[in-house]
Amino acid sequence: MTNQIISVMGELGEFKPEKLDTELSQNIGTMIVAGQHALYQHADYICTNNAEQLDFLVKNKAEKTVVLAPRDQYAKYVFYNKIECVPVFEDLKTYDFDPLNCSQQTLALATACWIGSPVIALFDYLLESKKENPALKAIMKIYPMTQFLLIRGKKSNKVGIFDDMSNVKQIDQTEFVDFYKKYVRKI
Amino acid sequence: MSEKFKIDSLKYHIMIAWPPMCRSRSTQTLKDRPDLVYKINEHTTRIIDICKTYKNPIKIDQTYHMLGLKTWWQDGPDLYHFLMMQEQNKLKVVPELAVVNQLTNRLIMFRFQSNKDGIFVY
Repeated sequence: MTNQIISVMGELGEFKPEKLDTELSQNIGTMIVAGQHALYQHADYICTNNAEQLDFLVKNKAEKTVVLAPRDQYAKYVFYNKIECVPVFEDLKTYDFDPLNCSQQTLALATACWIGSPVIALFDYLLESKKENPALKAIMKIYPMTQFLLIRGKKSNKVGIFDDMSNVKQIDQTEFVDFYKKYVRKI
Repeated sequence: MSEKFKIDSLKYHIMIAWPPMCRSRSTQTLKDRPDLVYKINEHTTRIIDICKTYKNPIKIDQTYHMLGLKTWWQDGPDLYHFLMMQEQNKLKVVPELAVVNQLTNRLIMFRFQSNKDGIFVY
């Protein structure tokens, strides 16, 4: 498992397993998915704060996958293998970040930032102006040295909300694979 | 109980209480009370024998603690079984559980209650 790039799978619900072709799956780095995302069986980590999804994921996850849940939910599965508690997000303390009440994609993104990687790619990420976008932008600001790649679907257009942020790039899947290959070659 | 294990792989920590008359005794008291030392040694031997029945590594901490014997466990189901068997084995485990988070390498502390129906961790 490599941390050269961490890919976060959000909660938009458009990215299905058939979209994960061989080329992309080989170039996606460490994969962290939000809850019961369609790609949960391919993930290195699954972040969930939904008790029902946690019950399901513990039973159905792939062997290599580690499920991460907030402390209160993790307590139920303390004796299970490959289930862990989410880290303490010290960097997000000023934002009163609550792993139990944030969205699962925000939890997955926070975990990716906690693990740390120069590049974090966001796939299938739900953009929503009330809660999600402010949380996403806040995290992007806290980690100015991290390059965030917002991966667009093939038919999606660029969005303007990140125009003021120098550490965010919007690219499509093909551009991401090219980026990954060049990036890995460089390091 | 295997002797060959990596310390990093030991995930759970519990303390098994000494017999009631041996608890909270200072080392000075123990020097003057060989009968208590005998009880403690007997208790420790019994715990080691029970731990030997488990396949996965268990480490018994040799440093003396006033409350009981500190143990480290690798396997969750082994520990669960051990906790469920406390009564049959005539042991009392201090109801505190420390778990090493394998993502962060930090200890997380829990309390637990156990009865015949299972173990409630909180």
